[in-house]
Amino acid sequence: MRPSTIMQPRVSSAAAIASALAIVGLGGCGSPQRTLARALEQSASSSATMRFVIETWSDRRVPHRYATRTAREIARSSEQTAASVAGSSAAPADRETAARLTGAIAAAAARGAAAIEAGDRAGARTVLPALDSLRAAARSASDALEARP
Amino acid sequence: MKSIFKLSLGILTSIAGFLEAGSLGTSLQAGAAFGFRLLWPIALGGVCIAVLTEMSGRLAAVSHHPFAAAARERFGFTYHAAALGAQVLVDLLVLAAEIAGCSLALQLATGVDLRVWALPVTLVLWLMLWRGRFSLIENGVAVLGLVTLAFVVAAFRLAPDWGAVAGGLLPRPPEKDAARYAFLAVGILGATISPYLVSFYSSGAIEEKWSTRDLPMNRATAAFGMGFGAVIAMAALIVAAQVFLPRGIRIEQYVDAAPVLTTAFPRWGFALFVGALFIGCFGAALELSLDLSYITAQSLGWTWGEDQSPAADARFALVYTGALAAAGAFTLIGVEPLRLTLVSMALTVLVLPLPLVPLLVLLNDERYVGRHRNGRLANVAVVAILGLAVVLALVAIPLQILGGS
Repeated sequence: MRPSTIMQPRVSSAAAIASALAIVGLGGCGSPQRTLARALEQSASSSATMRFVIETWSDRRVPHRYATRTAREIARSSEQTAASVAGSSAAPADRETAARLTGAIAAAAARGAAAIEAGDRAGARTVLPALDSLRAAARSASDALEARP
Repeated sequence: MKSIFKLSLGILTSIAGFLEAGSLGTSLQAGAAFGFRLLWPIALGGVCIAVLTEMSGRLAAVSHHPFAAAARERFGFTYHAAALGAQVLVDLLVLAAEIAGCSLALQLATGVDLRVWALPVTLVLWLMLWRGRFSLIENGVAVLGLVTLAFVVAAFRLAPDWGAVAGGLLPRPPEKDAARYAFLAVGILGATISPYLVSFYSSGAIEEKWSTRDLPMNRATAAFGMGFGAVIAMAALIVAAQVFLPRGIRIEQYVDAAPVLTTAFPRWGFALFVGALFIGCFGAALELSLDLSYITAQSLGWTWGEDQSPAADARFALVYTGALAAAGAFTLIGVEPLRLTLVSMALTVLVLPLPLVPLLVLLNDERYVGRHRNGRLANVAVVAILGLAVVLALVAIPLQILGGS
């Protein structure tokens, strides 16, 4: 009357095998070009998030302490992304473009974070145009890299 | 009035299914990344979990056995031990994510680091379980959980293109980032169709002393409760799609999503998000702590029941005490809640098939459910969910690697 008790272990084994294959098969994936595209995408997203934080903080929609902490975190991660791009083994021209954009985004994010920390709403708003244009440039550079074979 | 409170069990269960840290996080991530395209896994998950909870409630009401006890009795301890071990591990990880979610909500509210809040949150949870009764927990969380309706109001206030929203109920692959799309779809389904919802719901039915007279109410509770959760989760996704997608914001951490309601509610949006996150995670943490005690006690034949004093069921109380201490430690060491939930959801998906076979057998065994056994349609539904669960279990880890970053 008792149903088979080996059915579930089989399922689990199959999942484990599939996972192991995936780990082995994908362990080396991600060309330098693709990694660069992802870094640009990440940087563009950080820029957009920073813009939103400045916008909501300027309009007094989020507390100062939240904006300060989040902006500081975005500035830190943007800097890390820029540093990772500088050490990339991608083609020099691609690397230089990406380094310029991610570096500029990191610098703009740092300016925005400093303005928020100082409680300078007008100063923070002056960073918005730079964040917008850099985000668009980083995204199109990322798309161009992704589209390449 | 009594009937309305009976619906609380459905709402409490659905909060842990749809509004806890993992589900809310993935809904927000999905909306930010893919607009309305990932509404369908929430709808599908909602139907699946409504079917499964109705069955576990029916089993409890007719047989007076909670699911874990019936499964252990019917299948023997050897089979059941594997399912129990897997579920304990998953419950612990998800519980850790919920404590981290509560602590993060308090960090957002006060500016004080979430690690500082881990201990107070864990203590308050423990105190509620130690002193509280089941009805207080379920009704309290269900009433406070209504704050999450803010997402529904926000979705209407942001006036999305409802035709496009309806289009999201049908699966459609995205132009790019297919791996991430699939990863999030699996994550949403995994966070929604969670085994602990089945065991918790049936234990709740026993706590409330359901009998065959409650079967119509069971159907209504399962459908309404899970429907409530699914609607809120869909609303959260819609709001994220309206707010984050046009701005190009990708949600990497919970803190990025905190202003999501401020576009619809400029003045109260931040506080509403913090409240919804806290209540959702707090309710889920209570549910998970209880579930860990329920499944362990029921599987090992111990005395159990939240309405008994801790002295009367000391081992039951010991399990949630130990579980809370272990899970709280994750937050103390500073694990980011969203990252923790992504790992716990992948594990949830892996163990998902384990309870479905016993549920299917038990709901067809007249010794347990008498004439209230499953009809053909119900069996087809469970087999389909089982098939889905097996597929999800097979793809969960590869997708975590491909699309989880």
